[in-house]
Amino acid sequence: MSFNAILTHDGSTALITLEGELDALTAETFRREVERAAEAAAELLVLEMSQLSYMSSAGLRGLVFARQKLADDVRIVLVGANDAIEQTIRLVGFHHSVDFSDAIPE
Amino acid sequence: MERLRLPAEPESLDELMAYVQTLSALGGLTRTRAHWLRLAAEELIVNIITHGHRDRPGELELTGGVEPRRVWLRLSDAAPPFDPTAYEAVPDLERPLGERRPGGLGVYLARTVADEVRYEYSSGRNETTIIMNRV
Repeated sequence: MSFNAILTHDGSTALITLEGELDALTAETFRREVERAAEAAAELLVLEMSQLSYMSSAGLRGLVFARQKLADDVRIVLVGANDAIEQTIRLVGFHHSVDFSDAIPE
Repeated sequence: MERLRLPAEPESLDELMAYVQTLSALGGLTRTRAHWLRLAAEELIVNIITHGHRDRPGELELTGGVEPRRVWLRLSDAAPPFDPTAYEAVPDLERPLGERRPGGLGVYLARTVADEVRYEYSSGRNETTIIMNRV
């Protein structure tokens, strides 16, 4: 499986670009980038998912980890999630804790 | 498909999931239905590896088949009995993420996205079958 998570910063926004397949074997890479984003005290975490083709519960646990690492007032925005990934997130009720968007917020 | 038998350990996951994707292709599943089969299979396989065989080495067997109306994938292991169809730990879906404990999601997801999950314990083995309709 191939998976990449790359963290970049733009002002107070942390952007993690996810590519490939986020599964039980690759989720640790995602957690590491979330940890780095949390250390940078961003005000907004954007997860860019348009090149992410697959996500299992290991990825969902990464979202829980992100929500718990970041301060309560830090928004998490998921951009470009495919239908199956968005549906997976909704099935477990995580859409109450993150926002979906078609574009990276200004 | 011919049976695949591998050690029940994380290092086997890529090869096990490649088998599942070959099955989806043979069955002509749509992209979305192939996604759900893959998700259900990963969750149940990871569960067997990380819980069933956490402290005891063993093997996990996959067998798959394509029928006119459906595709089935059978997971067979010799870990202690675990019936995912009787597992009632539905995650607290309305609880905010910040208050949730990790885990408890995989079996719930597998049962939700598969058309059917069947289980029997026979001759000392867990036999878990995931069924996806082809249409």
